[in-house]
Amino acid sequence: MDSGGEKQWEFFLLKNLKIVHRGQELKPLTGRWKRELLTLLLLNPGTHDRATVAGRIWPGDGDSEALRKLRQTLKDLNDELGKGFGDVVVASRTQIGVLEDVSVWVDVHSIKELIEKADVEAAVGLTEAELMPEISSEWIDTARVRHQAALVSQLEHLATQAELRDDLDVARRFTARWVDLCPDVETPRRELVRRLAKAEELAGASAAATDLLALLRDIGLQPSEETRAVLASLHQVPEAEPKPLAVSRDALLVRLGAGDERIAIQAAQALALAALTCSEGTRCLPVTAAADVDANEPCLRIGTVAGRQREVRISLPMVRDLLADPDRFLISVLCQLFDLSEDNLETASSLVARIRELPTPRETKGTVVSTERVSEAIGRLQAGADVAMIGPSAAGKTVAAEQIVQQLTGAGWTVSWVDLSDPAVGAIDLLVSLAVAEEGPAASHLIVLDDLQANPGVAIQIGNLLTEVSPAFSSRLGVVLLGWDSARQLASEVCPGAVTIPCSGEDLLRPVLEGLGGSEVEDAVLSQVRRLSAGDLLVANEAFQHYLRSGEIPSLRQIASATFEELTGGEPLSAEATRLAFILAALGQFEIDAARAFAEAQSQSALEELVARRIVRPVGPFVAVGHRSHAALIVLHLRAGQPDLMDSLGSPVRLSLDYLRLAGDGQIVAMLQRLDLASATRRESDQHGSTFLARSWESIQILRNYLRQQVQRDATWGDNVASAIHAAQTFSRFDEESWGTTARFVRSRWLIDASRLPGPHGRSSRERDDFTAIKEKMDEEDAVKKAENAPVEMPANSIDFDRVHRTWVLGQLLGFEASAPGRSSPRLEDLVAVAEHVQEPAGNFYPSRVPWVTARVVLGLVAAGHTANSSRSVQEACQWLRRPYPEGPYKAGAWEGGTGTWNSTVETTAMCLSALVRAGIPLDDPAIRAGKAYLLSQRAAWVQPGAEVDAANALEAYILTGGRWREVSAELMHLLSWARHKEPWTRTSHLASESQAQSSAVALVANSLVGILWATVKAELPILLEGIATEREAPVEPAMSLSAKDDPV
Amino acid sequence: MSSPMLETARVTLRDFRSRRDSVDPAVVNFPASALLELHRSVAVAAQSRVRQVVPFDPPNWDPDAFEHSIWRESASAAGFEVERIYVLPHRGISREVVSRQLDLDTAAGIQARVVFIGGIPETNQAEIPEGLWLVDEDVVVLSRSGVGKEDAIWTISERAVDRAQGESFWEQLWSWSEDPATSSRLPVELEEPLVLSADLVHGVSDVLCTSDHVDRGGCGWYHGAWQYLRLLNLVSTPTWHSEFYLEQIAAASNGKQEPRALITGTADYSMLAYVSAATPAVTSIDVLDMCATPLFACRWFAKRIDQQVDTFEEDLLATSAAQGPYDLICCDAFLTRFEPQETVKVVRAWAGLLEPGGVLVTTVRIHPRSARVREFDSAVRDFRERAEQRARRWRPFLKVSPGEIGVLAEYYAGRMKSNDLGGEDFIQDQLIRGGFHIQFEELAEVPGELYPTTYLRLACKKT
Repeated sequence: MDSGGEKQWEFFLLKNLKIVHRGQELKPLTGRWKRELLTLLLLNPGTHDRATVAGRIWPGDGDSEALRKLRQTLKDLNDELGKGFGDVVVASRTQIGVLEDVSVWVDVHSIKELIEKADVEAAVGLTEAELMPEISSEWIDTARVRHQAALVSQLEHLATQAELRDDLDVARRFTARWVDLCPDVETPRRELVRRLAKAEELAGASAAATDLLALLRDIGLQPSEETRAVLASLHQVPEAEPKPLAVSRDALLVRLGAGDERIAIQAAQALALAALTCSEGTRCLPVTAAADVDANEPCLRIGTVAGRQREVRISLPMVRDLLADPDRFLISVLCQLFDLSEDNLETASSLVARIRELPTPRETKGTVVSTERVSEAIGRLQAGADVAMIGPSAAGKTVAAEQIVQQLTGAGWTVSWVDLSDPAVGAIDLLVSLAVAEEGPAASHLIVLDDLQANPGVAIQIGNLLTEVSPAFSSRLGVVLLGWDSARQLASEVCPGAVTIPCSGEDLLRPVLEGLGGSEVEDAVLSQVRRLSAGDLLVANEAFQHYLRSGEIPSLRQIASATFEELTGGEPLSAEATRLAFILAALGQFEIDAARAFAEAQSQSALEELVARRIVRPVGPFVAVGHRSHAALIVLHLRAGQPDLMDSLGSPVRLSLDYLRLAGDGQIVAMLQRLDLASATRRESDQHGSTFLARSWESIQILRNYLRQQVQRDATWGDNVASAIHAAQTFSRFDEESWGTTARFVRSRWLIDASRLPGPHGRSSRERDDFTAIKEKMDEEDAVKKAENAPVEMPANSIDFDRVHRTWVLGQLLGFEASAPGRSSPRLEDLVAVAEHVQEPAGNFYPSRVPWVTARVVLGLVAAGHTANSSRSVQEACQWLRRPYPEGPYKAGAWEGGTGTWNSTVETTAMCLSALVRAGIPLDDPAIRAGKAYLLSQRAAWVQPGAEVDAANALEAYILTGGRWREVSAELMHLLSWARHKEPWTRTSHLASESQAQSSAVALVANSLVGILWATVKAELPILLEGIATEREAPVEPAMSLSAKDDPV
Repeated sequence: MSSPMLETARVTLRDFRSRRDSVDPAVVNFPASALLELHRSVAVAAQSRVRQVVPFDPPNWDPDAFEHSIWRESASAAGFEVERIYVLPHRGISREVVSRQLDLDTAAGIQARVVFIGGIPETNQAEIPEGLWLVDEDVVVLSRSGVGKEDAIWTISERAVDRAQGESFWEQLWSWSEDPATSSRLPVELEEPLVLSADLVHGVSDVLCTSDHVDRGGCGWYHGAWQYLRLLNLVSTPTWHSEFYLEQIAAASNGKQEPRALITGTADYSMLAYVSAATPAVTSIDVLDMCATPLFACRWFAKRIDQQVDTFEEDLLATSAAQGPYDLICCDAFLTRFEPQETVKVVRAWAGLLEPGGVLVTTVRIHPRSARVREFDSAVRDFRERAEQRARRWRPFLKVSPGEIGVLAEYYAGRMKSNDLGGEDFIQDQLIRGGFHIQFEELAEVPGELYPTTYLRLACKKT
């Protein structure tokens, strides 16, 4: 290597230490400490506090011992390198350092110039040289990461330059090296694929693409748009021969793989036609498949969709890939016809069965009910707007939509109806429905999305889908959304700009009853039906029908009996079927569709009987008894008629809870999303807490939306990894897609290596600025202590804040990777290994002055599945946390931040308590009991303005240490009110040095609240369901004075 | 040179002060001991408008105190607006001192409203702060409750989020508040004296409680806690069946010149309040109970409302003193205090005390047929927590702390027993066999004490 200049002193730190003085290489420097000290000073030009330098090299020694060793090593260095070396290192009583001087040259600082001047081989060699491999210390890890970041940046630049001058081989070489340095990052791998393909090294490109996809699979990410584009462009192929071959599928598959592309493309056409054909021989999509062998690149042409001239061309490699699985081919064709990414669709194999069974148009009931809101909706739709009909369950939204459909189809519209309460329904169903719809005379197509709240995920997918496919249609698409009050926000996301029309059963009561009776309804009757039905149109309908038959307003039990009678057709059910009907109806009244396997386990024959008699309907992998009101009536009837059933099976609430415990969190979330809790949140009374819990669920939804919106605006949170990771904890529970988006940022921003602390890719992410602010606060604290002659342990100026930051990020990354859906074990294992490696002998993590860093790493290790019982590392860290001052950080009932006024004792105590409890330290541990008592004594401070982070940590710790949510509900509500205000969310990208506050505060608080509220809602489901059941199970029966005395009707 | 202990103490105190005074540049904290200085400071600096939420604790109220007079002085200055919302426990309490404060305010140009804690929905978790001031358009001053008044911190903040929270709280309180002129004309609600009598009844229960049908061994845990639990709306009282009682009692006494009414078994004066309110023609009401504490409470209440009442400390099943026959007998959730086999005796006792054609108005708890979802111990714990949670809002007006009320509540919930008499058919059958005709029945779901509960409401005529 050539330093390229005339310097008195040249230092080569790459590979191994080499010193050249006045052009002459000196003998290798002896002694580890001399090499380490020299390297440290050369890598960090400028002067430094002696204590800081000594602390880095001899971190395990006391201050005075480390300083003594520094003095000795400096002397040895001077002795060995001779008197000229005194010009290189300057040292005073307190300071030491290497000045940036024209006479000193260090290879690492000139790496950019070295690489640019070197030929490719030498340049690549330079990037492969490790920085002082013989040194093993924390500070060198930091330096290596910095050096690596510089290399990465340089390689990226060099590869681009080479590509621009069409030197594709060099571009490929530099890119490959870039991949070596960042093996877990998508961008370099994608660039490698692209450049290999550009250099026509297709085999290499294909192998690199496979590696890239394997990596993305391992880390649980979908390819980015850019990567997709690169992968798609890879598949360009030459010719093939037309004509389908009438032979068996196996034979066709053999031919499809044949080297002769003309034969292969013929086989492809035959296989494609087979894949597009239903078992009855009809085409399941209205498309044709033709082999095009005349084109430069033979391909399969798929087209045309009814009324819309669309064609897609599928190249041979792609066809080969797709046709190996006909179901996948079918979905792919559908996506390509509509220019969709398959991300927007589910991938369940059951989809294909549904594609092959074309959806039947929804039957609308004959009754014509013209109401103001139906007229308004039709007017809006005809004027080109979309409509959202919002109102409580059984408020007649579906009836109104049926009327809209009936009137618009009469006017020449075509219709697609998607019922989102059916868990098997997805965006694909709408697509299929659109694909087969013939264009009507009005050239307008109505899409009804029913029960929007039942499946928000699919609703959003459909919203995205509509945006994508609209341009492909010559017909205008009009949308009617039907949903509960709680789905108002969702409706605006699915269909921005849709006009909201509020619905209530009360509005529709009179027109519906008059529609049924054919004449005006008396006020007295209307009033009784209204009281009985409490806005539930289904009950009102049944009550009025009974009235028309008998001239009497029935009791609720009579309605329930009549409903059951109608269901069973008067034929009694078997005892087993009755039992199962009760169970399924009990679940159904809480909007829980039971898994088919669960129902079969109860009694397969009973299930078959119920399905055969249409009392229960299969819905994908679930079975259901229909509308929630309907289910409640079945329960009511069976409870009254067969009280022994409930004695033996338990109440509907008990049955539902038992089922949910079996089914897990996913089903609980699904139930809560489908239950209309919006009305529960508006109640003024709350005897047992169900209103609070309903509001908690609403708050979880709101905070999750805030976090998601923030991620949509800026997934990097202004390049703040801490905020992103806090948000990811919430997404891991409720929103996998946003988790993936966040993961893309976090994983590309921080590099993980099993042997060292995580390092940033390039410059540090912006939460590093918090640590600069922390240093200032520590300096202030140290100054106060010095002024009071109090001892200063581990002064701020002896602390390596890069290392503090990276250790803290280690804890954060552990928690983050542990939150990955399915957990990416290699990364997690690497992080755990790092934690074990960097843990200090006393059990703490660096620095001992700041115990919350240790708490953060412990929390990360616990999230990764390690506890004080299972992990020595966690055990030692917990022992250290509980160790009394001065050996440990526990100071008479609390933990202090060690960071001046940056972290309060409340916050630090709360974090340490959380770490200890989560690690499995018993709640009766004296330190935990004392810490909890300290937190409670400071309770008034939790709600002080500016103490939101304290409050979030304290609330979390309080609940973890056995406190109950009711005891802190006022504080929870206060903090929620803060987190739901827009102002804190405007500061997500502020630097700590600007705001003098923790830069990730809002994400931390939001995630913490979501965690506390979700744990509370899950733990208190009995109260929540009891509250809902109270409203529905035993409504006030009509008084005897009305039903048994003179009939007022 | 100080000792290391003093050095450490100085550092700790300095740290404490810097935190207490706030490290946020947009926030300044005042200790409660400097509250008057805070009033002065804000009064001097405010430009055009101050809105204040002020808890009104009548026994300790002085309308001429500095913190009130300084704002009257400010309000009298041209172009300066002062608005105040006073937070009171009940409408009918200490009307004189409240009126005097409001008169002084009006004279000085302060726009004042009153809000009653009893009127704030229980689902609203917000606690009443020690104080909240919205100053001009940009600053909020507040002191959240949670500690005693002396230790409270008063915060001045210009953070937008604090201001917005303050505005929101003000608007919510304003929506629940009443114009004093209108409010003073509104009738006092039946439950109102609770905040005054709860401490009193709790105090006397130690002396007067001996035994009753609930606990033959002593009922202080029941009657001593009862009024606190009623105040917090945690226990079953006539209030949960308010409309039913008012309608059915009125109907039963309708057309009678001087109807004679008896209350058989009561925990305090709640049923007395309903009978008195629903039967204006009644001259005297008799109340019978085994324990002297509820009878004492009835006499205390009767005196306040100027109602003639005679009390009998007796067992209904062995009464000799009650002066029957009566036109009306009322009791709330009384029957389930007895074992099923005693039901017939109770029904006979009622029938024996009623005139032919006289009416029994009562409610009976119907026990569920299946096991509860929540375990009993967990429900008792919930009950204690709810008591503590709700008591916080009443803290300024009660002598006992939320924690003490929680303990009373837990003991009550653990010991109170309601007998399962069977379904509504059994109860109706017992009444019919005992010589009653059921005029009115209604099943009603009420919040319940430990669990949501169903009650059978009954009005039965003696045949």
